[in-house]
Amino acid sequence: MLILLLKAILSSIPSSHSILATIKIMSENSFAPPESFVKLVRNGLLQLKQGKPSDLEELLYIVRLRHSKEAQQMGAVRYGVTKAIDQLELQDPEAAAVLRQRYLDRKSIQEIVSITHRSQASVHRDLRLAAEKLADILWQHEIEEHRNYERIQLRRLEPPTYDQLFGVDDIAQKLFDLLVDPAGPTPVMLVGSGGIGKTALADHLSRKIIQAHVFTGIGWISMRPQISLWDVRPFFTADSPEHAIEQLFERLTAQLLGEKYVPSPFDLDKALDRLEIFLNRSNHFIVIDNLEVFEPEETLLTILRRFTPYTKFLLTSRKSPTVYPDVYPVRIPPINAEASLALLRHEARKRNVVSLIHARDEDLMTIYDTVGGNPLALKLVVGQASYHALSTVLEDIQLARGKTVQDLYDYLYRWAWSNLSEPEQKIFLAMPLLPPEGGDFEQIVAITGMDEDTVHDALEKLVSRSLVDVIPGLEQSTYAVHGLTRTFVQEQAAKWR
Amino acid sequence: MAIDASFDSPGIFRRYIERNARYALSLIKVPASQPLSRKKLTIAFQALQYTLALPELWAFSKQLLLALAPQMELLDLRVLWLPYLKEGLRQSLNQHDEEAELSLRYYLGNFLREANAYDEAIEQYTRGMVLAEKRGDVGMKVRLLNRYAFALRRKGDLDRAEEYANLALSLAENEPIEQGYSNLVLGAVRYDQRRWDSCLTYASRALEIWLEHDAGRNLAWAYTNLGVTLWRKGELEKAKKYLESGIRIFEEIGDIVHQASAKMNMGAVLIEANEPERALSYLAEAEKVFHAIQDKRRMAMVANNLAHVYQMMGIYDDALDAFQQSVSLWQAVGEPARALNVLHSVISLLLDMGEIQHAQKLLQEAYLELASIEGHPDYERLVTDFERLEMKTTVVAD
Repeated sequence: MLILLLKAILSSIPSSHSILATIKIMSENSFAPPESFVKLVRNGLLQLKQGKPSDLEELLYIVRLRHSKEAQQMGAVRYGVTKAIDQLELQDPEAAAVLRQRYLDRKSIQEIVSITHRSQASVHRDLRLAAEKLADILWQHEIEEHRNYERIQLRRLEPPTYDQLFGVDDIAQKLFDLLVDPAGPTPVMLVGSGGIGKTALADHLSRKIIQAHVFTGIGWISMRPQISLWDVRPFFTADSPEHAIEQLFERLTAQLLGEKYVPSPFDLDKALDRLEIFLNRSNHFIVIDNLEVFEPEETLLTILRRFTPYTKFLLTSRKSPTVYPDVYPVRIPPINAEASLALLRHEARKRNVVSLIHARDEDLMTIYDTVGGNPLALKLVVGQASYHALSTVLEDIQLARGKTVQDLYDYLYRWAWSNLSEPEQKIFLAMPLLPPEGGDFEQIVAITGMDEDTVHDALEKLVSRSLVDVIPGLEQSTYAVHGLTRTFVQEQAAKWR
Repeated sequence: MAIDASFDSPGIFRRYIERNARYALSLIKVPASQPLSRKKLTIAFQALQYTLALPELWAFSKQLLLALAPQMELLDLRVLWLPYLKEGLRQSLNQHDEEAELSLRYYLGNFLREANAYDEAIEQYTRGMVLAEKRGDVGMKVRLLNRYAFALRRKGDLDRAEEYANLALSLAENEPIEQGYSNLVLGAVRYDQRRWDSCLTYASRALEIWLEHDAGRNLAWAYTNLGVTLWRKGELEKAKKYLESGIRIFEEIGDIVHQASAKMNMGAVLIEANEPERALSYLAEAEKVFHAIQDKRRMAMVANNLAHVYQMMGIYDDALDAFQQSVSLWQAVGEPARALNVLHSVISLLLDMGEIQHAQKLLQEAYLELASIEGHPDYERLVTDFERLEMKTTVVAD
């Protein structure tokens, strides 16, 4: 029965989004529909009258109504237009009446002339004006549906970990084009070292794709270990590759199809069958982040093949693409010099590092030449420039020249550590003991045993050195460190294995 | 560039671990029956990970383990928790800390029992009882006896389960909560013996005791057990009422796993009350929790119930799939008698669907499997059931 219901719902999902392409050009304040939309409504009404498939079928407003019983009985477009005309009646009863007579009751112009005792020319004019008013109403519905679509899709993403991305415009555009191209490859895998920005880029692409309305929906599943006991669908960190696979598709089924379509009892094959029906009917964009955390790649890729080419999968991993022969790999390169400089200046402005804000490009290029275009590494350098003369920073980073990414981070963290005051080092040392998602001020005070003012000042400095992140919260902010930072503090500074 | 500090950074980090443990302990000082927030639980759990790595901080590890254990039991986070309990027990032995050892054996036994590792659970309870005896800790001995009895009941050893529950009851003069538990176990034994009236008596007694002494999880259990017993007696409306009370209390205390068990029972009652849609809703809710914690035993139970719902709703393919999943799960957890019970339902359904050859094939498999449970309390009944089914198969085939 669920399958039948699923099929019924799926049959109501448009396979293309040409109308949405029109909608996306609107601005938040555009209350009046563009002429192209008015024309679409006029044509749609005519097609409805003639009993032909109507262009109005692709309006999101009509798509949503298709689930209703009335729409099943009388046809979605007819039902949607009837409702919109009812709405128009409240504003302009005459306009509503003439539209109803012409397009729902299918009366000829002559019949309407007889009923209304108006000239043919007047009836034509009345119909044109009434159709424009109806287009206004449908346009408002579309704006509303458009907002709903974005809200629903955005809710599936995690909070972004960046405020602005640098140097990814080209790769983001290429990836966007690749992913929205129906003939493009899938799955696409973003590969790169830690701190290079794979998750940030995947998030950026997802937001761009949502705005573009080119997919019916998007999905986002992170393979990071986590426990979610309190959610609608509880889950725990998987304890085997098989469990990880089950969990992934259980969550994806719930996210895309809704809770009631998750097979009960859970059965992976059934869930995959349902996803296959759903995904093969409508185009979706699905991100599977942090694939390297668990290693279900062989089984996973075999399963993903079932959904291609209708669904575009974007995977992220630190692992080399050679491990994944069937995947279209995209190695995330370090950002280029121009972007690195822009990032350095952006971070400098955020932290009010005057020496960098006004630094000459040659000086910033020295940083780039040494550190390369790794965003996290560049931020760490900005952090150092917050407290040291630029000349000192430039001199110190020379020692990092020519190092591998791992050695570079090691050097940068050691360098940062050596430049911290004793209270700052002591606060920094406490960071691995906080929960990975962030700990609060009170816990840091309790761990270090320092007075609140000292902790406050030291934290402020660690934040401005890009060693600690502040996560704003409703009641209070929490403090967290990047995974690479945590490893450094624990293994190098605390000598804890 | 070397990592230099004007202070002993590894030494400071170790001190931080200790302070962090103190901080975590200050956060989790709540009655064991109240669930901790996700944040507090995470902090405490992380603090424990560090203290366990330092044997000199055993005092903190012990406090954290004993404070977290009831919380982990409440949330049934056994996948995460079992390795920590085992490590805690190992350290308690190294530290010759009998008090901790006793408590950890109790909790470890409970987790192992819930993970269907009955023999391992019984071993922990047995060692715990010896230690409790040695320390003159009657309260702990009674608790362990009751859990031991409960594990025996789960294992199908009903006579010994009854014997140990009665022994616990005889020692529980000053332990009203445990008196309730003994009655709960005795009721469960009667339930398995299908002696519903006697079961109702024990379940009611457990409820009375816990109404007076415990408004938390035990009370919710008592309501649930009473509901299940009334269901067996055919008193469906009363059963629903008691189960609703149990579900509500589990909800209030945040015990989602036992709430899921109560929901599964409610699903069973609703099947009998011919309310398949409502039953489906309860059972699906329960199933997703069992699936999340990979509780295969309860997954097997709920799959069987879901199969019955699908059968009632005329969705035979889904019913067949769910039954077969239940059979596989019962086999996976080593309960062939239960697997055979469900296999009986599969064959009946196949006959109803007209799939005679498939039914006959499974019937042959069932007979082979029956041989492995000779001596099991359900053996005779199952043999009779399958013989009846064979006759039906022959009639349909003719």
